[in-house]
Amino acid sequence: MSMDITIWLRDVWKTYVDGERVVTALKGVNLSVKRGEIVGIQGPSGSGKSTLLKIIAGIERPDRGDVIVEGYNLNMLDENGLAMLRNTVVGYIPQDLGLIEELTIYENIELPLLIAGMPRNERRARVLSVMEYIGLKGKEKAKPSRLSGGERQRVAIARALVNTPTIILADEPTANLDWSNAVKVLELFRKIRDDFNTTIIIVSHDPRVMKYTDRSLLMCDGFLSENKLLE
Amino acid sequence: MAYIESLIPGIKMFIKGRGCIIALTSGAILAIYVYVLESLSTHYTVLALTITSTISAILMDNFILVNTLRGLYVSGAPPSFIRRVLLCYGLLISMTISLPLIITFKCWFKLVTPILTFIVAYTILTFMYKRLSREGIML
Repeated sequence: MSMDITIWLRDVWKTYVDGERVVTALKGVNLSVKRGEIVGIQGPSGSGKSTLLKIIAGIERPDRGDVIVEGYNLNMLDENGLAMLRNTVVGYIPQDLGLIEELTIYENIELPLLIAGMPRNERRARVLSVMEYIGLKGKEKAKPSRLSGGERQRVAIARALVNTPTIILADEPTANLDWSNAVKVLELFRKIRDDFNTTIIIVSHDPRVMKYTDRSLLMCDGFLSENKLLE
Repeated sequence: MAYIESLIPGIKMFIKGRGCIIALTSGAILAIYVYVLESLSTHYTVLALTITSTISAILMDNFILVNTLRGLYVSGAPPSFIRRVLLCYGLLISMTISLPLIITFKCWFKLVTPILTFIVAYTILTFMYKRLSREGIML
C-alpha cells in the first residue's frame, strides 16, 4: 500500500438484520483514496453510501474485510481506539449534523478539543481561528437553532475541522440546503482541501455535487464502482 | 481542571433540561408530605416515590440526553468520557430530589435517600446509553 493512500478498503461486507429481513448493505467494497483527494460517492437512498462512510469513520464495524485509515487497521481497534480515531484523525459530519442544541456554537465546536484534553487558552484560540476561517466569526454565543441551514452546516464542518483531522467525511452535506448555499459549502470543502491537504469524502444522492469532487464513484445495491453517469 | 471541564456537558444537560424542574418539584412536595405526616409508613412510601420521581425526571430529559450523547459520540468521546458526563448529570438530578428530603427526613432515611436516588438515576442512564449504542441510534 502506497504511503500516499489514506483510506484503503478491501472486500468489505456489511449485513443488517431488519426484523425478519436480512439486508446486505455492502457487498465486497474495495476503495482506495489518496491524500488530499476529494471523492464523491453518489447513489440512491438505501444503496449503502452512509454505511460505507460510517465504517470508514469507525462508527460501525464491517462483518468481513479490511479497513485501513491513516495506517490504523480499524478491525484491530477497540472502542477507545475508534473514539480516538474520530476525535483526531477523522472529522465526521452526519446527515443531521449531530449538533448539541443546548450548547452554543462556540461550545459545540470546542467539544472535540475538550474531549482531547486541550488546555482552555489553547482551545479558545483554536476555536476562534476555525470560526473565522469558516465564516462564523461573531456567532460564538448563538445556539444552533437560531442559525440558517447553511450556517448549521458550517458549524458541523468547523467541529469536524477543529482538531485538524487529515480526513473529513460528509454524509449528504447539501441535502437540506438550496443550491446556492450548497455550492458555498462545496466550495468550502475545496478550500479546506487546498489549504490543509485534507482528504474529503462526500456522500450525496445529488449528481450536481459530483462536479465539485476530483473523482466520483457510484454506489448501487451495495456495490461500489466508477461513476459513468456523469460522462 | 480538564476533568472538571469534561463535566460541562452533564451540567448543561441538567440546567437546560426540564428534568431539574421535575426533580426539584417532586423533592419539595415529598418533603412536605414527610413534614406533615410523620409516621414511619409515610417515610417508606415517600422513599418509594423518590424512585418514580427520579425516573420521571430523567425520562423528561430523554431528548436532550440522546442529542448530547450523539454530539459527544460524533466528536470522538470515548466511553469513559460519556460515562463521566452521565455520572455528573445523574448526581445532579439525584441531589436535587434528595436535598429537600434530607431536611425533613429523620434518622437513617437522610442517608439512604441520596444514595438510592443516585443508584436509580445512574442505572437508568447507563441502560439508556447501552441501548443507544446497541441499537445504533447514536447515528
